[in-house]
Order: sequence, then C-alpha cells, then structure tokens
Amino acid sequence: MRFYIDELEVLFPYPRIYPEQYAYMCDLKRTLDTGGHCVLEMPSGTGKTVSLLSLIVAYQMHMPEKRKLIYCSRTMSEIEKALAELKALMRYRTKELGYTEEFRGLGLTSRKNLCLHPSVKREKSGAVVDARCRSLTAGFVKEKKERGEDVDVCIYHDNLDLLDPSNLVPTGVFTLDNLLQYGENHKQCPYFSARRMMPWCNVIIYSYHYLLDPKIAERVSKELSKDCIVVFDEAHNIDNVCIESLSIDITEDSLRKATRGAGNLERKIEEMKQNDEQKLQDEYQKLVQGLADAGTARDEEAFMANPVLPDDLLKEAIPGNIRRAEHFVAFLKRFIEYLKTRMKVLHVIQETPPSFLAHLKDYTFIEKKPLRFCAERLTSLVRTLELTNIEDYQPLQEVATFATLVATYESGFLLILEPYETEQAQVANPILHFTCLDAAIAIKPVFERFASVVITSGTISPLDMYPKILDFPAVVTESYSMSLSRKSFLPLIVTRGSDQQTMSSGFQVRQDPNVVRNYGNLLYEFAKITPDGLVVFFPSYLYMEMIISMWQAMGVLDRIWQYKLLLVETPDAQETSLALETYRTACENGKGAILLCVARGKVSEGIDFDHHFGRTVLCMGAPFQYTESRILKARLEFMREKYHIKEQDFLSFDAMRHAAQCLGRVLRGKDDYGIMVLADRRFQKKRNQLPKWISATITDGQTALSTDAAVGMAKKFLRDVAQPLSNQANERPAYNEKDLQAKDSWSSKDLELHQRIMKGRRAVGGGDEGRQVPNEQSYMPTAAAARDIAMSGTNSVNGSAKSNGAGARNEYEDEYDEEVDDDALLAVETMTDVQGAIGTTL
Amino acid sequence: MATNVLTQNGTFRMDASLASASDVCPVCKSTAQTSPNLRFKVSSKCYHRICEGCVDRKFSAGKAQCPISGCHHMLWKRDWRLQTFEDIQVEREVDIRRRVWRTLDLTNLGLVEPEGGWENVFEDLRGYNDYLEMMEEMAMNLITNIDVPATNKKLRDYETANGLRKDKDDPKALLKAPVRQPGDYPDLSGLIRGLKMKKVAPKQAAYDVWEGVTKQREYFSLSAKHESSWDHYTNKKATMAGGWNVADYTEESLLRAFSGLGVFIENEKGGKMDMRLPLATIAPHADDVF
Ligand code: SF4
Ligand SMILES: [Zn+2]
Ligand SMILES: [Zn+2]
Repeated sequence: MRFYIDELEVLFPYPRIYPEQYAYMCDLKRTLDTGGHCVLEMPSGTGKTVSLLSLIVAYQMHMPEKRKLIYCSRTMSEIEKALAELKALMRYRTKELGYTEEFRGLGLTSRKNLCLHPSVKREKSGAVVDARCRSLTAGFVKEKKERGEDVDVCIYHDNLDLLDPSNLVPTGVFTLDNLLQYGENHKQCPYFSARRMMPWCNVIIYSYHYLLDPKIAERVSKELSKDCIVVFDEAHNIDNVCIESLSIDITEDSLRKATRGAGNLERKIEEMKQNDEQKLQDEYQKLVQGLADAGTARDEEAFMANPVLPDDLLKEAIPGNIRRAEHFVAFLKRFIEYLKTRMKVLHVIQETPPSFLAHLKDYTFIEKKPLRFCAERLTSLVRTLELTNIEDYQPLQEVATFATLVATYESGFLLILEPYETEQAQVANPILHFTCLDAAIAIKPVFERFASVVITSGTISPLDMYPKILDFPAVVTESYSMSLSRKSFLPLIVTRGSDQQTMSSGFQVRQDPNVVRNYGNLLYEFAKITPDGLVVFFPSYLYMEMIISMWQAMGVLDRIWQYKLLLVETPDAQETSLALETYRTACENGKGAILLCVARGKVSEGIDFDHHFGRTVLCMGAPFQYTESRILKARLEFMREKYHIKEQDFLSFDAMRHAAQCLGRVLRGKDDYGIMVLADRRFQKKRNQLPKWISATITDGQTALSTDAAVGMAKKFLRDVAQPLSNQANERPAYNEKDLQAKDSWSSKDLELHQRIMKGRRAVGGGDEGRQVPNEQSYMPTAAAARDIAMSGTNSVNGSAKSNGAGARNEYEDEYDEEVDDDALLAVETMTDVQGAIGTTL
Repeated sequence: MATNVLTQNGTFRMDASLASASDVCPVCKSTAQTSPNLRFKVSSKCYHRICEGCVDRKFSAGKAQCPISGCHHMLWKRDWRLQTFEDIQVEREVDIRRRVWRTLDLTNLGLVEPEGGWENVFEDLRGYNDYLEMMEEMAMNLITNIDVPATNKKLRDYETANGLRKDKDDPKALLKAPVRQPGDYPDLSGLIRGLKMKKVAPKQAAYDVWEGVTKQREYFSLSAKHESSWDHYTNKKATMAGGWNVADYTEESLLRAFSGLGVFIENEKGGKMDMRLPLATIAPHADDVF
C-alpha cells in the first residue's frame, strides 16, 4: 500500500498495516526531520524491520541529500532477514513506481561467511580465516608478486583491482547469498567487494561490531559520512556489547604467549637487520617524522586493528623511546614481565588506571605516553616486518591493546586482579580483568559522529534507562503497545504455590524444599495442560542445576516425564544445539517437550519458539544478576556515581529486560499465541517495568496468583484461542475511531480514516503533539482509488501514537533482592557441590 | 612466588622473594619443602641469588666474596636485597634503567616540569623524542653489554659537567657545584640537545620597604635644636629612662602638624591620586609653628 506521512510518500510492501507500524514510522520520521537520536520499543513479531526500512528508504528517495542507512543487527540470521526484507521492499517499489530506482543495498559479515578462496574458506575458526586472508592480500604481498617473487595471492582479491572501484557490484539489493553467487560468477571476493562498496551504498546492513568495536570500526566504518542514519536493532543488550568491546582479560597463559610473540619479533628484527636493514630504517624515519605520515601508508587491510586513539594524538609522533624496533620490543617485554609479576598475587586487587600507571612507572620506568602508542607502534612494526602468520601474535596484540587503553582512559575503567577462580579454589589461576565500566565510552563516537541514531528493540523498557547508561540525548522515546483483535497471549504472575507459600528464587528461600517443590508442581501442572512445547527459564545455571537435582530426589521429574520429554541447555554450544534439535523434533511430532534453559544463555537471546515450539514460557524466578561479581559491583558503583542510577534500579531493570526477552521468545507474530508465566513474588511489584505491550495486558486479576488459579486461567485461555482465528473485525469497514481500534491491522482506507480523525482533532486544538504540518494541499494519494476520497487536509501527520506517554514508568521503588545477607551468600557457595550431578538430557 | 604487599600509602610493593616449589638455594641446597617460608635475596652487583639464611651467615662479618663459585664480586651484606621481579634479567634491567634515568633526569639541571609535560622544556617535540631515544639507547647498551665503557664515560662526563658527581666519602654531598652563568645552556655537558635556553630574568630593583616614600621632609626641616620650653626634660634621667627623646618628639609633632597639607579632597574624589601640590606653592603660607 502507498500512503503519505506529511509530505513523504511511503511505499509499504503489504496490503495492510498494523496501527503500531504506522505510529512507529511517524515517530521515526519525526526523529529524522528534527535530527537527533531516538529510542523506540516495538513488540516482536509486528514487522519492525519492514516498517523501518520502508520509511527510511522512502525518506532517502524523497530527500535530496540521500542519507545513507546503516542498519546494525546482532546475528547473521538477523542480517539475512533484514536483507531479504529490503529486497522485497525494493521489488515492491519498482513494481509500484514502474521503474527501477538507482539504489544499492549490501550486507557485510565476517570473512568466514563471505570467503570464496577454496582453501581459506574451509578453515573453521573466523580468526584463522581472517589471518590467512590477510597473508594473501596484504600490500607487501602484492608488491612482492609484482617484483616477480613467488608468493601466494588470492585471485578473488586481485581481480577487484581490475574493476571500476565505484561499481564493483551493480545496483540493487544483494543478500549474502546473492553476493556469494555474484562473487563466484565474476571471480571476485564478496567480502572485499562489500567493504569497498560501502561508500556507494544506500543501505548497509552489518553487525554491531563494525560500528562499536573500536578495533574494527576504525577500519571498516571510518569513511561513513556524518549524515548517515544509524539503526541499532535488537538493541536491548547494546550496553553490554559496548562494554565487552573495550574489556580485556589477561591470564598467565596469554602473558606466556605474549612473551613468546615478543621473542619472535626480536628474532625477526635481527633477521631483517641482516638482510634488509633499509626497511627498518625507513620505518624509523617515518616514525621520527610523525605518525600522520606513517598513517598514509596504512593499507585497507592493515594487519592488526587498534583501539582508536583520539585524533590529536594521531597527529603526534611516536615517543622517542619506542621508535626503534628493538627498543619497542624491549619495552613490551618489560611491560609483560611487570604484568607477570603482578599476576602472582594472593589476594584480590582492584585498581584504577592512574594508580596502575603510577605503580608501573615506579617499578619499570614505563611512562604513560609510550604505553598509549603501544598498539599503533605494534601495528607498524608488524607491517614493516611483513609478518604473515598474524594469529601467532594475537596475545601480544591483546597486551598492546590493553596498554593503549589503560593509558588512554583515566576513568570508566577498572583493573581487577583475581588470583583464584572461585573462593574455594586452592590453586591460583589469576586473571587480570581490565573492565570497561562505562558503556557510553564505546558508543560515544557513534552518537557524536552521526546525526540520527535509532535504538530499537522489542524489549527496551524502561525507555529512559538507555539514554542514561549510554549517555546521549534522545529526542524521541516511544513504546508501542500491540493492537490485537483477540487476546493472543496471557501473561500471569504467580507468587504462591498451591500450599499458599510464597514462591521466589531469592537467596533466602532458594533451597527451601517447599519452594522447590512448588516450582516443581507449577512445571508439572503446565506440562499437563500445555500443548506441544514448553520453555522454562531459570536465573542461572547454578540455580537450574540445583533445582533439577532436588526435583530428581523429590520425584518431580518422574511425574513430568509422563507428559513431556525434558531437555536442558548447557554452557556448551554443541550440546545445547543438540538438545534444541531434539526439542523441536519432539514438538513437531508427539506430545511435545520441555526445554529448561537459562535467562542469560544463548537460547534466551537468539532462539525463537514460534507457534507450537513454544505455547508456554515459564520464568522460574526473577533473573537477577549475581551481585557478588566484582565486575558487576564495580559497574554498579560507577553508574551510581556518574549517572546517578541506583544499584537496585539497574539490577531491577536488568532482570526485567532479561525476563522480557524470555517472554518474547514465544510470541513471534500476531497469529501466534502463548502463555507467559512469571513465577516469583518479586515480579509482582515490577510488572510496570516490562515493555508496554506486555504490561498493558496484565490486569490485576492476572497477578498474585497461586499455582492453581494460574492453571485455571491458562486452561480457559487455551480453550478460547483454540477457536479458529477469524478476520472478521479487520474486514468490516470502519467508520469511526472505535471501529479502527477494534482492528489489529488497517487497510489503506482505514489508515486514511485514521489520518483524517487525527487531523480533525488537531484542528479542534486537541491532541496536537507539537508536530508541524509542512504542506497543506488537500490531496490524498493512496494506492488504489485515491483521488475520489480526496478530502480537505487529509494528508496530515498522524498523532495518535502518543496516547499514553511514558508517564508511570519511573517507579522502581522496590528492592532488588531483599534480605541478601552473608548467610545467604554462603548458601550459594555451598550449592556448587550439587553441580556435576546432572547430565545434559534427563 | 611473588606477592604484592600493600604498603601504608596504599600502593603495592612487589616482592618476588618467596621461594617457588622448584627453587633450590645454590649454597645450602634448601628448598621450599625443607624450610617453609624460604626467601631469596639477590646481589645488586652480580645478580646471583641465594637464600636469606646464607646471606646472614656469610656476610654478617663484613665484606666477603660472593659464594657462587666463579664469581669474584666482593659484597657487603647491604648489597643483598629482596627480589622484585620474577625474572632476574628484568631485575637487572630495571636497576640499570634506574641509574640512567636518575642521572639524566631533567630536574637535575634545575629544570621544572612545565604545565604541558617535559616536552615543553625542549625547543620542539622532536627534541624531546630524541632525548627519550638517547636515554633508551644508553640503557639498552648497558643492559646488552654493548659499548659499556663508552656509555659509562658519557654518563660520567655529563655528571661531572653538571656537577652531579657524588663525593665518595659523603654520598650526600655533591663533589662540586657547577658554576652556572645566567644564559648558559641548561646542560653544561651538551649531551642533551634541543633544550630551550633558560630565560634570563630582567634584573629586579632591590625591594623597597617604604614603597617609594622618601625620608626627605617636604614641608619642614629639623634643626639640631628647636627653641622650646621642654628643654629641661631633655636631659632628665627620669624621662630618658622611659625612652623619651626630645628630637623624636619634635619630629613627630612637626609631621602631624603638616600631614595632609597639600592634599585636596576634591582631587582625591576625582580618582586622581597623589595630587599634592609642589612644595613651592604652599610654602609661603606655612609658618614655622615653633
Ligand atoms: S580475499 Fe576474499 S576470497 Fe580471498 S581469501 Fe580473502 S576473503 Fe577469501
Ligand atoms: Zn642458602
Ligand atoms: Zn655473584
């Protein structure tokens, strides 16, 4: 269908549109018009991606500036899905407009997925593919080849140089498969084609890391212009991605390997001095002149990626004491030795970067400045030495990255040295965590550089949390509820067992046999009534293992086995995927199965259980993080001081976003249905922190339930939804607002009516949302019979989306995990004994 | 084994002296098994490593030869100290660095670290980087035993020229203070190049406690003796004992009598200071009050 939002004509590749999709587009457009960033929450399974793409492509085509869209997603499959949507959209546009627009859309993923080289692509590890590719494509390899030396190159890469650099691939949208196909047909590397074509693309779809990880971002995304529109989809975990991209863990083993790497470098330098002294001399001269000059020699595939240095630093010359190759290697070795000795601690140490630097200087005469240039200097050296087996230098590079980071950032980071893995451990296995505490650091360049950044996800409540923890101003924050013509999901908050005893996974009562038995009963009851698949989420592996072994002893499992097969997620990816496969088979044929998994595990983040794969999801306990983790504690403290976020607020927010993620797993579209059970007394007060599309459907009657009451409601719900889905409400013509509200999707006519109502309301002086109406012509061009319904002033903006603002969202007055005392923590520790008693599949 | 000991000021003292499982004292053959809490000490001359007990036994009586066979270093007990780094090579390297760094420390030349860092005492950044490289070069030479005598000589010459050599008998005193002339290049040996010349401060006038007020009286002059009726006090013991002095008294009386003369409030109000009229304009009206 075709419709207008203000002056902008949007082509939407489906005949009907959901009201929330329309509202979403309006807000998106508003953000783009005003410039600035926004946070938008839209229920899963309501066509968020297609709404986003339709609007932005319409915007790009309409506006003279042709702002580029950078769409970031998390996983390969999400990237594939988005590319497919984009392709369908462009096909629809071509059909509707009657001509093909000049448009290019490409996806980028790692070499591992895009490589065509017959032997390189067979490598299993992504890092090895990267390293092997580099050794075939580096600048000096090519030079050698030109000099007639016998070196291996990649023909797919070399062929690119024969093509017009601005037209390596023709216009159009290429899915990853298309790109591979095209590359194979034309014998050109898909990975480098996509990368080099980025400046000539209208839409780029790639993974978060290309923008957030400073080590990668510098290489890949440097040239993107300021006015790009950046979208982070599925962004509910973005703060953790940011933090991970700047955190480094160093172990004794990695230091040993780093020493070996430094030794290798030393040897290579000696060799080069014998054979090709001039090269080292050239490098030295360049470094004396200043980094900026050396930087021009930086080829597209420089060997190692560095964390970004501030621009003014880049213009500076490398400090004199690490200019010479041999001095630099000695410098690295000294630094590593220092770290090694520091690692031999017998107690935990927490230190800020300035204190670390002061101590380092006292003992080794290593100053801050050369440390800062470490990563850059190492890259230069590796390039000069023409090393090809980069993967061997990985640990050394990690140390260099650490050096650069620790000397660059004074705050927002913490060094935590933990000599033992667990409190009980006898043998020291020290780890130096260099942790980033401030998610804003990694994403700051993105917000500063690009005019519009859109953060969006199905579960991103409370909306004001993200601007706080990522430290950016949001011009629009919005959450949309899901319009449904029938009640397609039933959220229930269970707080008591059948015996009326409170249920919770809080530390106090965790091991209370009554609580465990009650949880067991709950599972048993739902196993009985749920058709097909049932998914259960526990707060942690530790807890899951404990509860399973207790159920085993109580005979709960035996009872459940009568109804369903039981499968368990483990930290091992392969075991888990096997369990998943079995689970799916059991849901396809037979009485169904139960999948027991963990709220922060792989399953909760990426696996969809649509339709019969998940009819009930059970959250056994609120997924609070383990607050005794030193890293978490440090981060909480940092956020309290810098952003004034209370510990409890953050923990509560974090628990609820994970709970919401778990719940969202089973509802992947409007034709889907499912039961969502939140079983923990602590959910009762926190239900407002769930995304609006869930919390809005929780009536008081659905809360504070006992197991029996919940089962009763679930039974009734299942009976109701078993009726065939009728589309009657949607098909009936609409005449007024009420009719519209009864529909969960709108036709063109419905949408026009809605726009008219909104316009009218604004004219009366009512619900004006302060939006401007840029043009006042009275036409109403929609897809089909547009002109005959033309009415005065109907092309206006819609304003309904904001009917209920984010008003009541700030009340997280309640506690996070009350009464946690030392005894309770001790109890957790003793729980480790229970581990290992349980296998994967029960 | 190494431990980081938390010192009082909150920093960690690194200590790698505790014996690890495989450590054996080369002198008495003690191990961590035979004697728990076995600690090792390192000689700062030859970097040999023996256990604490052996140090006590062999060096309590005074200077002795290093007990490691083939090592002829004569050592005092104070030459043995606890180990900081696990790797003895690094221990030595850091010692050498310490010496080079302390010697070439720019504060020795009477320089102070400016706001933007040490690079600002050099003409340009290049000069600073060259200085850093030179230090590194010297340290590396000493560490890897290249050109040791030449490097040591350079350092010695530098110390001598800048008056940094220590007196053998009194380590706290410098051998000879350098004679630095204003306008001299900061490094008198010329080893460190590219330093900015020290600005020669313009000669400052001596400090004047009176801030320009002269002792010269404008409106009156004191004669040796003024005609008055208090003469009989002048030489009286009783008055003199109290410190009374007729000359002082006379001067003060005159000062008070003339103070404010030639100062016009209107002028002061107009913001113009020091509007006293020249002496000549008032003089005719001024009577000698005495
Ligand atoms: S250039 Fe492309 S095809 Fe060749 S090895 Fe690298 S990724 Fe593979
Ligand atoms: Zn001994
Ligand atoms: Zn010796």
